[in-house]
Amino acid sequence: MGRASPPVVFMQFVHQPLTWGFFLVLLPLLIHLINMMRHRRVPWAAMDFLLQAYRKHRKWIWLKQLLLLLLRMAVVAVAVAMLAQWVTRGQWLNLFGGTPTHHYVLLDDSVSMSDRWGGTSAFDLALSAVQRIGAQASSEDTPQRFTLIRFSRAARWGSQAEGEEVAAVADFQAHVVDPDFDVTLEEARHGFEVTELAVGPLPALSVLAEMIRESREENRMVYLVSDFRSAEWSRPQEARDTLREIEDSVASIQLVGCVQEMRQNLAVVDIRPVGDTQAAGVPLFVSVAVRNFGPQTARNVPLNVRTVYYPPESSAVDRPEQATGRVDDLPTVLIEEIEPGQTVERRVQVYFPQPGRHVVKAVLPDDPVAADNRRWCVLEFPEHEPVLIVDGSPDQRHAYFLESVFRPGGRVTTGIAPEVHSPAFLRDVAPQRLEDYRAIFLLDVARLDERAVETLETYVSGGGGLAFFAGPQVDPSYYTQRLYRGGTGLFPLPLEREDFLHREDARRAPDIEVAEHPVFEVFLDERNPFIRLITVETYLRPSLDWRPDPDSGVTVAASLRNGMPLVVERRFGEGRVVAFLTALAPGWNNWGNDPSFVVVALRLQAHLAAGRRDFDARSLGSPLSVVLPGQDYREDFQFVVPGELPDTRRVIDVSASRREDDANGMQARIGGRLLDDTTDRSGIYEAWTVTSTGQADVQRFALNVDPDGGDLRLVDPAELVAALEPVRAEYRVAQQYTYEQAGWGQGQRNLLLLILLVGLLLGEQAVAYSASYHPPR
Amino acid sequence: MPDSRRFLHPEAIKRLARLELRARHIVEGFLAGMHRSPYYGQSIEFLQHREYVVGDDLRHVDWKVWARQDRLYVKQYEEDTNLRCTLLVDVSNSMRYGNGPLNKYEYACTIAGSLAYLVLRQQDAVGCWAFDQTIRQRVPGRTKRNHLRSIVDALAVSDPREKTDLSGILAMAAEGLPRRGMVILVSDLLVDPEGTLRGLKLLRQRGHDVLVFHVMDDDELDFPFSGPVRFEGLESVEQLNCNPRALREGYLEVLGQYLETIRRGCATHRIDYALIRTRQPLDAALAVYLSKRWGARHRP
Repeated sequence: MGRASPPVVFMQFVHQPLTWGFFLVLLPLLIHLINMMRHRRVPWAAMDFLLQAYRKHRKWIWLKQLLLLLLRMAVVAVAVAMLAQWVTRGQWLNLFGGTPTHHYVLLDDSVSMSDRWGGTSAFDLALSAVQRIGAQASSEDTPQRFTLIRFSRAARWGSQAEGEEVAAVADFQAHVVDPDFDVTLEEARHGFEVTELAVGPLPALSVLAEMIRESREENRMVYLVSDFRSAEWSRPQEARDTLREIEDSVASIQLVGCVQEMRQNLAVVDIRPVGDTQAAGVPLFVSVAVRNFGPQTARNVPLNVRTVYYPPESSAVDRPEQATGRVDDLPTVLIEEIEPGQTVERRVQVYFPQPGRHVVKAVLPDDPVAADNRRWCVLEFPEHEPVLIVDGSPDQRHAYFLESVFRPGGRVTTGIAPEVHSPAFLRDVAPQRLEDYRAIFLLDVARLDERAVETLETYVSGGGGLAFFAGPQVDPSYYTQRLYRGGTGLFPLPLEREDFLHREDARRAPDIEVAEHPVFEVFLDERNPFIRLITVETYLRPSLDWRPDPDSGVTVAASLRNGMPLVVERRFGEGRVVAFLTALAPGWNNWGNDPSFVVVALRLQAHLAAGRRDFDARSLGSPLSVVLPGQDYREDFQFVVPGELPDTRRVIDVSASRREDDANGMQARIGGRLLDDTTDRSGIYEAWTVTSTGQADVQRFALNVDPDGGDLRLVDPAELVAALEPVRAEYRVAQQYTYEQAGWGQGQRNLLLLILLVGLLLGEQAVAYSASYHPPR
Repeated sequence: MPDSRRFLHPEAIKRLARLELRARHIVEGFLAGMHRSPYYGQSIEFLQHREYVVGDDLRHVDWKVWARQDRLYVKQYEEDTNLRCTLLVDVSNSMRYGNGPLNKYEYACTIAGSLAYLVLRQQDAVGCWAFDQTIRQRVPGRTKRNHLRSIVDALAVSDPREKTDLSGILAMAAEGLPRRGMVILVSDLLVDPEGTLRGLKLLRQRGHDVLVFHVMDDDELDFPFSGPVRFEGLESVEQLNCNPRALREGYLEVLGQYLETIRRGCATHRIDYALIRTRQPLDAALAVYLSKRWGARHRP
C-alpha cells in the first residue's frame, strides 16, 4: 500500500494559539457598527442641501467606507499573522512576488573523488552535502527547484553527444522540491557512483551556463561540490570566465570542498612495450611507469605484473564471455623508493608463444584511490614482422649480411621475416603492398624510379620506417636532388661526394661516435665497447658546413671522428627515415663483420618498425569504435566489457553500421555518448566479430584511467577563491556544510508581512483621509 | 473696532432679555459709533426753489424771497414722513436652528426690532408681519413712538413651529400692502428659491423697495461637523446618518449654488440682498438698511 500523501496545508503558524487573534479582524466592523449607533443627533434646517449632496456622493462614500473597513480588518489580520509566525507553502508567497529558488548542484564524480579514508570517501561526503542541500531545500516553504549535474555526464554532453538537449545532462532537471524530496534524493543517491574518469569542472560549468541561459526568472544558487584538486583547477581562469558569464544571474556561488588533506597515492601511469620487435615467440620488454602522487616517499612498493595469454583456440567458445586466457603472474617487481611526484619505470619481460592480442596488466597495492592502481595494455603479437630489403648491388651482398642478422637460422628466432628484392620491385609494387612491411631497407641503391619515390614517400609519411645504406652504387647528386629535394624529400641531408676517413687520426679516437639515440644508446655505456672496434674508410659526406636544422626534425645519431655525420635520422610524416652514410657490407668499413652490427641492425629494425606497431592507448570514456571491411565480416558485433563488479564481464550486442566515407567499411561503436557510459570503466574491452567464413575474430582494447587522475594535490581554498575573483565564490567544507538559508524563509516572510502591514496602514490612512475621517486642519 | 460696537455682538445682545431693550441698545449704540450722522434733521432739509404756479400751497411760498425780489417762489423739501416700512419676519421651524448665542429666530427678531426702532426714530411708519406657513402676527404701520412695543410683542409671541410658505406670504404681502413702501424680509430662505424670487419680484412690480436679510447660522454656511451625526429635518421628517466631513464638500457645493441663485435673482430684480451670519454683529443689518434708505432718498 502506497504511502498516503500529506494533506496540502497552505497556512500554518508557529504559535498556533495566537491564531485566535484572527477574530480581532471583526473589531473594526464592531467599532463601525457601534459608531453608527452612538451618533450625535443634530436638528437641521438645511436638510434639502444635505440630502442632495448625499444622493450625489453616496456611492463613493460607501465605497470608501467599505474599503476603509476592509483595510482595517486586513491590518489586524496581518498583525496577527506576524505575531503568530506565519509559515506557508510557496503558492501564497508567490502572491507577494516571491520568485522560486533554484539550486544548481554540480557534483564532481571524477576518479579523484574516490579518495577513501577512515571508512568514508570524498564522494560519500559530497553526496552527504548534496543530501543536506536537498533536505534543507525541501524544508523551505518557498518554491524550490533542484538541478544536479554530474561532471562525467557534462563531459560526455560537451564532447560527444551532439544533438542532445542540455536538460538531458542533469540527473534532476529543475526538479520541483516537495516535502518528500529528501526521500527522492536519498533513493537517487544510491544510483550515483564515482567514475574512473578524470574530468574537470569546465564541462559542468558550461552545461550550467547553458541551462541558466535557457531558464526563466528565478533565484539561483550554485553549489560546486568537488575535491578541488590542483590538476583539475590548474587553469582557474577558464572556470572564472564561465562563472562570470552567469554571475549576474546567480545569487550565490558556493564551493563545497570534500577533501581537506592530501593522502598518499601511487598510480600506474603507463604501461607500454619497449620498442623492440614484437612477434610471437620473441620475448618483449614492457615498461611500467609508477608515479607517486602522494606527499610522502613511498618505499618498497611491490609491482605485480600479470600477462594474459590468449591462445588461438580461446576464441572457439559459444559465448564471448566464456573466453578466458591463461594468466601468468610475473615475479613481483619491488620498487625501493619513489619520491613524491617522481615517476619510476621498471621493465619486465613478457613472452607469448603464439600470435594474438594478449594482455599485460600491472597492479599496485591498494591505496586511497584504487582505480589508478591497475593498468592494462593490449599487445598485438603477429607471427613475425615482415621486412623489405632492397639491395642495389648486383650480387646483393649487402642484403646477405642483413638477412643473416634477421634470420640467423637454427632455433634462434628474431621474429623478423626479411624479403629481399631488387630496386625494380619498388617500381612495380602497389603502395598497399608495402603496408605489410614493418620496415624497408634500401641498400646501395643507385637511383629510384619516380614512382618508387612516390610510393616510398607515401609509405613513410603513413608511419613506415625506411633505412638508407650508402654504397658504391649510390649517386650523391641524385640523392641530393631527387631524394633530399632541398629538405622536402625523404633523405635527411644533402650529399656532396664520396670521401675517405684519414687513418692518421685513428690512434686518438674510435671512428664512430654515437649520440643518444634508440639505435645506439646501448653503446653509450662503457661496458659495451664493440663499436669502438669498427673502422670506417669510405663514406658519403655532405658539404663541410652542413649542420642539422633543429626545427627540421633531423638528428645525427652517430658521426665519424672527423665530425662528419654517419647516421642521420629525420621524421617524415608519421614515419622516420634513417640514413647510414657508409656501406652495409664490408668494403667501405668492417661493420658487417663486427658483433655490434647485429645489435645495431636489430635495434634499427625495431626503431623503424615502431611506427607500424599499433599501441592503442585509449582514454577512458572515449567511444570505442571498431572499423572492419564489410565484405569480410558479418554485421552483428558483440562487445565484452568490464562488469560493475571486479573481474566480471558483460556482453553488449551491437549491430554495425555502414560508414559514410567508405562504402565497403562498417563500423560498430559503444560508449562516449551522453546516455551510453559503457566505456567509463577501466579494463579490457573485446570486440567479437565473425568473418564471412565463420571464423571468430577478437579485437582487444585497453581503456585506462587518465594518468593524471590520481593526482591528489589540493588547491588552496583561499587561493582558489582569489583566483576566481571578481566572481564572488564562497568556500565551504563539506563536512561542516549547513544550509544557512534555513532561517531565511521566516525572515523574508516577516519582512514581507511587515512591508504589507506598513502598506496597509498607509493605505488605510490615505483612504481615511480621502473619506474625511481625519480631523479638520 | 469702535468701543460701542462691542455691544452689538450677539454674545452681548443675548444678555439683554427684552427685545425692545435690545432694539434700543443696538440702534443707539450703532448711531453713537458713527462719526457723523448724515440722517439727523434730514426730513426738513431744503431741496430747491421753484416758481409759484397756481394751485401750489401758499404755506410753501418763500415770503422772504418775495419781499426781496417781488416774485413768488415756493420752497421744496425732501419728503420726510412718507416712508412706510413693513418687516416680514420668518418665524418658521427652520429658524429655530442656531448653535451660537442667538438662533436664527432670535437674530431675525432682534434685527426686526432694531430696524423698527430706527424707522420710528426717523418718524417713519413701520409695520410687521410674522409668518411661517401663514401670517402668524400682523402689526399695521404706525409712526408713533410706542408702536415699537406692538411690534416687539408680535415677534415675541411667535414661537416657531411650522413650515415656511414664503412665496405665498410674499404674494399676500404684495396684495396686502397697497401703498408703495419698503418691504424688509428677514428669513433663512430655506424654501424653493424660484418661488421666493417670484414673490420678491411681485413686490417689486408693485413698486416696493425690497430688502432681504438672509439670516443663516454659521453652521449652515460652514458645516463644521465631524464624527457620526444623525441630521434630523426641522421642517421635514427626513433623517440622515452620515460622516458629515465626507459630505461637507458636496453640501457646500449645493449650498453655494443655492446662494448664488438667490443672489443673482435679487440682483436681477433690483432687490437689496444681504447674507447675515448669526455670529455677525447686529449693526450689519442696520448699515444695510441705512445704505438702502440713503440710496432711495437720492435716487433720481
